[in-house]
Amino acid sequence: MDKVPILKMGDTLILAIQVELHDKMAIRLQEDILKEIHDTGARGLVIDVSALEVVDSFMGRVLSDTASMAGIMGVETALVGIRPEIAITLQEMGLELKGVHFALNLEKGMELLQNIGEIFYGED
Amino acid sequence: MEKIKEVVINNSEDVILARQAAREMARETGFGLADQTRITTAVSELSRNIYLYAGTGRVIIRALSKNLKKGMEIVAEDRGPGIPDVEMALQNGYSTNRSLGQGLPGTKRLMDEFEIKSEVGVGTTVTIRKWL
Amino acid sequence: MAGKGALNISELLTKKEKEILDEWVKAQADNLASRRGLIPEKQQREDSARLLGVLVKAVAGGNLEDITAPEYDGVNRFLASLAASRANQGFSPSETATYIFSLKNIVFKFLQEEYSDRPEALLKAAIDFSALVDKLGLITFETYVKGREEVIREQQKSMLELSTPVIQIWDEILVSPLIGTIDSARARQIMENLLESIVATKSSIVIMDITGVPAVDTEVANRLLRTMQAAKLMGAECILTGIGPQISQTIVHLGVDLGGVITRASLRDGLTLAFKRLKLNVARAEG
Repeated sequence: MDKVPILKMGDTLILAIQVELHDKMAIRLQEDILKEIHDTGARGLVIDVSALEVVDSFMGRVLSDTASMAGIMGVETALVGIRPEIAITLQEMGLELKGVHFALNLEKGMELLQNIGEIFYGED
Repeated sequence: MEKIKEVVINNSEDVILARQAAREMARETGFGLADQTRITTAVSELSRNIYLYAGTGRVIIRALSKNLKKGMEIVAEDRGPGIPDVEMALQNGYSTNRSLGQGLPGTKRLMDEFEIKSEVGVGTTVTIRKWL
Repeated sequence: MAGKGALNISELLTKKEKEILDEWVKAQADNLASRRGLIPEKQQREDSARLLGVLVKAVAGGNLEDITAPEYDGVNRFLASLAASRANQGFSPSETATYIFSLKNIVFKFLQEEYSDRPEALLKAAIDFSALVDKLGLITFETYVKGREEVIREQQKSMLELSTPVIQIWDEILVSPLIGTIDSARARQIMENLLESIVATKSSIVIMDITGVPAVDTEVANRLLRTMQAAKLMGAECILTGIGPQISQTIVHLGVDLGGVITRASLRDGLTLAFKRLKLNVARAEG
């Protein structure tokens, strides 16, 4: 598998990274996401990283950048399912993921984006 | 009964191979999940540095056993351009390539021991260790 | 075969294995450990027979020096298990080592009988064999120490676990009451426990209460902050409670940046805030 499927639910894009991505795949995923945002006019983006066993500085950068880029396009990003050991490692390395919201799982991530949406845009 | 694995790094796919080899050995050595992840992440940083800055090189992963202590040692070596200012490379925020700039200093914080030897025009060797 | 040159200890051991064993077991019957009745004679004999057996095999190639060589694997293994089982039976480590050392006297006696005509070679053989048995005795000692360290490590680990509880006090609310000094090992344990509990209980709010922490320095403050930031990466909000006047003074004087962490004076206040965040209402029942 060398392409991560991006689903759309309401005005939120959802994708789950299920395999360890090498750098080129990660960059391509970033491009795919931005294109999808542009094509669909989505308002929210949920990235499920619960299957990832490693988030190093490169992957951290890609995720953080993607969220910032999506933000410029008016999309709020939630990163969900970061494992405890990865949270610890990110902390110890001093990696900061900026411009991203965090949630425990997909469901809570959707909920979170919905709440943010209500604050920003009012109820539809 | 020393265990050694060697991974040659030529591209970004090899980074993943090095990572897998490191995690497997960390698990076999008896490290917990958090330490396994620290080690794997450190190996990911070092092997990525090889292919980003030197093009090719290798990562040697070794199980250690000293008296009662068990641990792991990873040596990442390349014959790339070398790092002109090692001190600076170890400071937060330094990076010549677009990364979060935390690669080397971050790696150092994840491990118990960290040594770096680099000579411009000759290459770079980073040795890291973690004890159980 | 009493030929020329050095004496062949391995040959002697092989040839006289049975007699040596008999003498050795007899000698042991008089020593202290046996008198204490710690070990039945039958087992004493079995142990001795097995040790002598693996030793005869190990020295067969003439190596009396390097006990890390592969031919000594059997000896090393047996000594390790012997040391462990004797420790369990209540032997002191020196009793076990003394038992191994006692093999020397027996073998010396046989050497003497066999080679009384060649005193110089006899002396050399005795020294060599003595050095070998010393090494073997030390192995049992080392195994004993290793076992002890293992126990200590286990105890340390369980103490750490005991001292870093994480309690789910309500749906989605965790409390981690910290008591005592926080060093780096404990800080690490606290972090791992807390984060794993977040996943296990699907919690979205974590209250860290430091009422029981006697002092907060920059180091401790940073560790706690790091833990709370890691929790945030997992989608949990952190509230730091139990901050008395002294600690709040220290934090300001040290210039520790709490980086937007929510803080409350008491656990009670923190809990109230947590309920509010989850839109929960605590009210007295009517009537």
